[in-house]
Amino acid sequence: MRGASFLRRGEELVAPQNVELDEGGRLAHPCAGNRAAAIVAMMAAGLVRASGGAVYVGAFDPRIQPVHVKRLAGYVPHDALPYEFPTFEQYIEYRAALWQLPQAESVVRARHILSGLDGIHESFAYPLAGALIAQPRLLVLDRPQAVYGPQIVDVAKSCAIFSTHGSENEAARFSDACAVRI
Amino acid sequence: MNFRSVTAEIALTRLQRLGAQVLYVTAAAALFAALQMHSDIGAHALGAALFGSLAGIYLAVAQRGGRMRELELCEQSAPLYAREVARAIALVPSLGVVIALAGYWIVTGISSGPRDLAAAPVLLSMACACAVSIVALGATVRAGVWQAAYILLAGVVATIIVLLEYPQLPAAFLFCGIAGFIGLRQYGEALARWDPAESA
Repeated sequence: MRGASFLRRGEELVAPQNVELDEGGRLAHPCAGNRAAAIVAMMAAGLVRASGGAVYVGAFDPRIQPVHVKRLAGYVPHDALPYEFPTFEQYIEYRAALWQLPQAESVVRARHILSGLDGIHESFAYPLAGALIAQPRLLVLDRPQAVYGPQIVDVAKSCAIFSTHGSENEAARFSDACAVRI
Repeated sequence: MNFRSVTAEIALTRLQRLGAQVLYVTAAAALFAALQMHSDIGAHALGAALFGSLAGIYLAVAQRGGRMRELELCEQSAPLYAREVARAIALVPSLGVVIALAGYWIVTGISSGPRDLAAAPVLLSMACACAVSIVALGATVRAGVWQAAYILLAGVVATIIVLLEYPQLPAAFLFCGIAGFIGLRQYGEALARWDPAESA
């Protein structure tokens, strides 16, 4: 991100952000608040277009090639989502269909990922496993809890991890928990 | 390997979430048809088109927020073009109103007798409701005055189709096709520009 900002109806919700993350790198990025952290995470995953500045994921600009960016990035939201799918397998099959992955193979891979997330609440573990089945090169986490850090690093393997946080303290705690460099 | 079509997956998953609403709308359509049992085919055609349009608007507006939030987030973060997602989502209220109107016409067929039914009003009521629901989808990616304007526009489309029906049946079908096509294009473009950050 180079001076990437986000405005809504003239109000600056995200001040210009400068972030650089190498392939396979890890970065806990502190933002001005929770809303800014949520928006920065969505900008990094190609869900939201920056109003100013530039964002590149790999060689792709989300404003021009959002689909290419979404192939590279896996996004895990912060909010605990209601359990809309009766089973974990159905959730994974749905995601596999959207990512055009083989469903049976994705369920097996997701179960394997989930076994490494023992103790993490389902509302975070399911979306995380769902994001990782597509084997993204960048994992974008919106305000993850620090206690989950080591397990996230384990399951992400060589995938780059970019996490956003609502404050410097939270970013530092997450960074300490999983030895993420800031 | 077991791959499933993206369109089918999105449409069927969303339709399952709306199962209760589709059931209510179908039951209401059947009740409405029963109340109209002594009417002629013209009144049935008008009733079906207007009821189907209202049901289409309701099912279209139910496509965003609430129980659909997780699905929306998955669809938005998936590597899909907005037009693909738009087509899949447009199928949902369309299928819902076709089911509801099937209920309406079955009850009409039972109460008035199948000989009183004609294919044209049945098909036109379904085409009208589908076109109106697709136009109403535009309201789900807008807020405030524009949202109200799209719902009003859907109502205007339904009124024009009903007014065209008797003097110009082919024109009514043509208008349904044009309104549905333009509505779908508009919805796809609005979806491509839509920011999930609105709800952040």
